[in-house]
Amino acid sequence: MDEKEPLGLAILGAGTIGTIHSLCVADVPGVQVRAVWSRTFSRAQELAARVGGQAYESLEEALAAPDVDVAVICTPTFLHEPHTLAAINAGKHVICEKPLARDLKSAETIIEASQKAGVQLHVAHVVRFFPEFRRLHDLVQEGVVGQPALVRMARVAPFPRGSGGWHNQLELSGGVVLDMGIHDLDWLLWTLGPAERVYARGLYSSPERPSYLDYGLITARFANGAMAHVEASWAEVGDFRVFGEVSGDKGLLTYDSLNSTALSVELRQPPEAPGVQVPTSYTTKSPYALQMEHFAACIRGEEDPLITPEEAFQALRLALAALEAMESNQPVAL
Amino acid sequence: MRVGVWSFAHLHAYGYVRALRALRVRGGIDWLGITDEDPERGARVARELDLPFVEDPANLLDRVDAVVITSANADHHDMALQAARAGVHALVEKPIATTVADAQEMIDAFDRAGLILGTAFPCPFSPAFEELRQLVRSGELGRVLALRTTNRGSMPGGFFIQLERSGGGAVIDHTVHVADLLRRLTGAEYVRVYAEIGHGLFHQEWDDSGFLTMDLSNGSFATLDCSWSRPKSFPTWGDVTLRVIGEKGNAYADLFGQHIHYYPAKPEPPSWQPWGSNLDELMIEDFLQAVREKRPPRSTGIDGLRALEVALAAYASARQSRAVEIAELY
Repeated sequence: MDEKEPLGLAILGAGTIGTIHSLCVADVPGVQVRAVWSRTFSRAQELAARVGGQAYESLEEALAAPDVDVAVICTPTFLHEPHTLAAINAGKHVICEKPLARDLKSAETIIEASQKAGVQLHVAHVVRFFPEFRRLHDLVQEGVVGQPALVRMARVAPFPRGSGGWHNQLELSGGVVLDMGIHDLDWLLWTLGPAERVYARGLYSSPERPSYLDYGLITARFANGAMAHVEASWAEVGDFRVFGEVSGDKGLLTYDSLNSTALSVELRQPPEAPGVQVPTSYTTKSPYALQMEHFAACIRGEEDPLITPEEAFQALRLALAALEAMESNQPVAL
Repeated sequence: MRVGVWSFAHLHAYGYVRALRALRVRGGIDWLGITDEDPERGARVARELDLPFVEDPANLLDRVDAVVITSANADHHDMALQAARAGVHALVEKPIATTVADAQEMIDAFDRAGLILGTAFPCPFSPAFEELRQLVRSGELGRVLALRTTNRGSMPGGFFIQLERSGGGAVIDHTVHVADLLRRLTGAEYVRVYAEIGHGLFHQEWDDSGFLTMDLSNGSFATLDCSWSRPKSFPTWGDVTLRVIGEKGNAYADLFGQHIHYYPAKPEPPSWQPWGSNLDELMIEDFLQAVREKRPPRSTGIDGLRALEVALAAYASARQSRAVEIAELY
């Protein structure tokens, strides 16, 4: 590919995350949105009007649009497999929103197809690009707490009101553990190495679960001996909040987004909260822009991927094992 | 009423003496004395606190109506039985004992003798906890779905890290408070416990950390972090926190969250100066009142046993790497 030509994106899915990926492109040099497709055409038109590019009524047309190099899969989790495969079959590189797929078989199919087609596959585990979690990871790697022994992570938000209520159909979304918990499970695998076993409790698959409410508590043991506790919540009344704490034999690191913000604003007449909340970082570049910049550099062959498809697969495997433990009442070995 | 304190192996003994003294000032305690299985420590503490020291515990038991037992965990059983034989009511430091059989024997001995046996759980006296309990019991939070809790602290040293005297490390030390609170909060009993137990903070034979996951009989689930994960530089000793996820709302209680930040001019770590209610005093007062009125105290021997079961199930779970039913302990 000619390095002077911008990288062209086809955004597949125009919901919350599709909008975020599209908007961040403005801060990423050498990348442009060329095509937008949504299951609801009017949403594709609205998004295209904001970020440029052409709205398409059919997925195939969007992928066949001129100068599209990369498909960005922002559709609901259960559609990642068909949409990713369509992009790969059209010879496009793929950036896929996390989780890579709803089940391991789909994830394997996607990874194999990308390898066969010789296209790059990047999974948007964006927490690795959040400066606070990057810093927490780096501090642990630098050994400031010595050997890490205990990690507590939390990622809590109101229940997302995505299109069609697909988040509430836990068989389609995997619930809060697969959608939110997977961020922290990925961070743990990145920071601590492979997991040995996982145990979990949650409202997923509970016949008693109130509609539009999901909550999970996960504990895991890692091969290096460290143990972790993860809280994943779609049961909040308040705002999105994250928490991370690492105890080691030489010290303790602790972070809470509630008391670590550079700006807070309270309007006497607040606008309506968005259907799906995402955290805000007041940094020069948003984590989504940093992530897009990195994926673009990987596709141009300028950088090595910070997260490989295999790592995304392992995060999915750990999250699915947590869901399995909730049903079996026993820890699941990995 | 005449009251004794038996053993200063547990640091809580000092807080209980302060509470007993405050109650003495307000009336109701005629005599307060101490004994200790370590006579040297007993004599020293008696001098420091300006209290009568009775070297032979049997003599102390002859003189008092009630005794507070604050020895190493494994000594609770023998001392409590001795108190029961002497006809003395006892408030026993938590955990009530180190085995189910010991705890049961203590409960039976006091029952047979018609004496009051209490477990020293101050947390139920927290006004914040009581408010939370009423929110849950009144149904204002709706059905309780999940609980995320912590009782973390600094590594205490002393008998706590001598397994034959403590019965375990962080898990037996810091499981019982929250285990007790959740029974009171939900009115439910424990069904099943899974635990990851660790030694990674101090690399010793005693456990320094634990993440417990518990299923309750009302269908809710809870996790508890009972680790000694607060370093010496941490601004306070630790915490007791309870997060409740209910069908109609969530609540968060930080039982010792009422504090003022103190930053010394010297290069020393900052500290948190607490200003909340004195829970020790409320607990001791309730126990003495229970003795006077011949009624059960807020925390009975049975409450102590139910909380101990969770800690023992956690150890069994970690040994076997599987979830353990409470019923398996019997």
